[in-house]
Amino acid sequence: MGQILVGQLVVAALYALVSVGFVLVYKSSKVLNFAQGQFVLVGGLIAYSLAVAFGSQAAPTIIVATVTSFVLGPLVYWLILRPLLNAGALVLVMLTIALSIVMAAVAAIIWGPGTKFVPIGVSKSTVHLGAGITVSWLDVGTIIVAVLVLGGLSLVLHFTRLGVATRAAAENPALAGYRGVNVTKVTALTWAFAFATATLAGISFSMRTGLSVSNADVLGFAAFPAVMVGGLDSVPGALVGAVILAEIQGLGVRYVGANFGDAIGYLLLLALLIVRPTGIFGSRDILRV
Amino acid sequence: MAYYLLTLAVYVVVGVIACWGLNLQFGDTGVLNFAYILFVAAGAYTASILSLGHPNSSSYQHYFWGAHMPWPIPWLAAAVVGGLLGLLVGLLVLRRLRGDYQAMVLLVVSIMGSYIVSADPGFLNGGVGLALIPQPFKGVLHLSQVGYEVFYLALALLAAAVVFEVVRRIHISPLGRVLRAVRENEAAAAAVGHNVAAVKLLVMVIGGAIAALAGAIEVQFIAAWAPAGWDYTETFGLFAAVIVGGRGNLGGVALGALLVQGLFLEGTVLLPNIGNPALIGAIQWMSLGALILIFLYFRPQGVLPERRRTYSSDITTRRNRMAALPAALTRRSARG
Repeated sequence: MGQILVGQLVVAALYALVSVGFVLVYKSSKVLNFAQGQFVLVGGLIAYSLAVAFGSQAAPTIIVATVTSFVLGPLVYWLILRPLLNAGALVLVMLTIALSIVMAAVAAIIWGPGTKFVPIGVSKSTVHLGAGITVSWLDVGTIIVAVLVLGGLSLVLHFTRLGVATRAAAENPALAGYRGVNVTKVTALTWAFAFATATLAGISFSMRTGLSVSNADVLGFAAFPAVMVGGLDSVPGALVGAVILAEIQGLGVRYVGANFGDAIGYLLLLALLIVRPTGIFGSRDILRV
Repeated sequence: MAYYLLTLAVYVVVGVIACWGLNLQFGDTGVLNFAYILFVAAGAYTASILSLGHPNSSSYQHYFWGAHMPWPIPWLAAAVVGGLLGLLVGLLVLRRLRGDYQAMVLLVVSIMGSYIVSADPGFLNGGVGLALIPQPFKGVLHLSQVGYEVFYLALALLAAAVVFEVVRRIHISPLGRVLRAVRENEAAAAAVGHNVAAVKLLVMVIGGAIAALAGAIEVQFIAAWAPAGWDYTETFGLFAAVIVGGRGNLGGVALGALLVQGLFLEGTVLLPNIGNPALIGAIQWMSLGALILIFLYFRPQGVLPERRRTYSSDITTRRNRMAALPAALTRRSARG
């Protein structure tokens, strides 16, 4: 039981890193990014190639991969979404869908269909927490990164000028523009963070279980219920939602059966959707007008 | 070659039927049903267990219940199940959520459906799927292989004709105008007294029934059905067909289904073998994604755009009335 709860924390960390991307992009541009799972895939695979190039050194691999994805995020926004930003939610959703299809296919062409493990030297040896509970250093690192990233992002969003500008741009782009906020720049920055956090998730995910074209997209959608629980526009909500989702799934696997664990989590979340569609921390924005 | 072309023709007819159902939801009403393939699958499974007969414990495949029904029943039952599933999913998802959020939840529902079916081998034979599904009148007709394909194509075309008539009548009816009003401006449609949620629920039910019928036709043709065949990505292929063909235009949607399904997904079979099959698959999907992007950027209305309907007689009478109005006003003011 304790082992499950602790073990699921790293799954929660992965969910949190993926779902914070949904939240950031949605906060700034009111777009639900269906390509978030493909960000994880491409980010992780770039890290894989970098790790091969750098001879498995951890620090340069992680840093360069994160910086690369930090550039790719705004690029995606400028090339794919910006031209049709005023075309309505339906078109934007289809754009991100098409983007996800193209990204997955390009990844399959460049890196091939096999499962990739980022070959960097983070210790997989385990830490004993007492009471028979163990975690690996990789898991500890992932959890720390997730907490730091999400904590940092929520602090930035709430207490800095940039954060206020981001929230203003989301609330009312025209008005924020009049007050001197560069809405395009702020939005592009959130896409950069969305891609970068997805890349961090991709690196950890590929070191734990291996990354392939067929499992990364599912990670993207598997994390979405965390967003549903936490609320689509709340960064701390993403963290809380991720923990709740991961723990429910862990207990589901333990007490209902290995095959049904994931489905049980989803079913409970659908039930939550009926009771409280905005999630725990979400604003009423996602409800129909 | 005739066999290949006939097989392709049945696939295209199934695709066209499915796309018409999707067009009713996405094209006419603006509902992004990203669980659409789940309804196709529900129809396929229903038709399967209603034609396979009682599950046999000694058989290699397991399913929770089964019967051996004559031809039209599996198809009709599939449509009913699809409609009921539409009602269930619609009630769950449609009530209060914004369109794009609904879409994501539906996608999660679709993935969840395939998880559940794959996870429980006793329900619908798990990830292996059902096989050896009997084909209608196969044992009675004693036709050659090609002859039976012609017969099955005729059955499929019959179903397509029925579906066409249903969606065409909805499209031109007053209900069709309400659907388009909901698509164009939900708030305005609600403001003039239409129950937006009920309208969307209705197209979830009808579209779900059509999707399930398409699944039933497909499964009794290929005689096998497994979760790998109804991956959530299949839904996007159907969306691509509707976008490319022209959402809201039935002929356009059929053309889109023909282009995307027939030429696009099957046409590469005719291309020279350039590499491993995984690469060809990736190139197909990349082109599909690129096709959606290109059409959204440069021709969002599709190859054959929706016809703008003007209701001429109404407008003429109204215009005459409006023209008569100032005259009446002047008369009154002159008298006053």
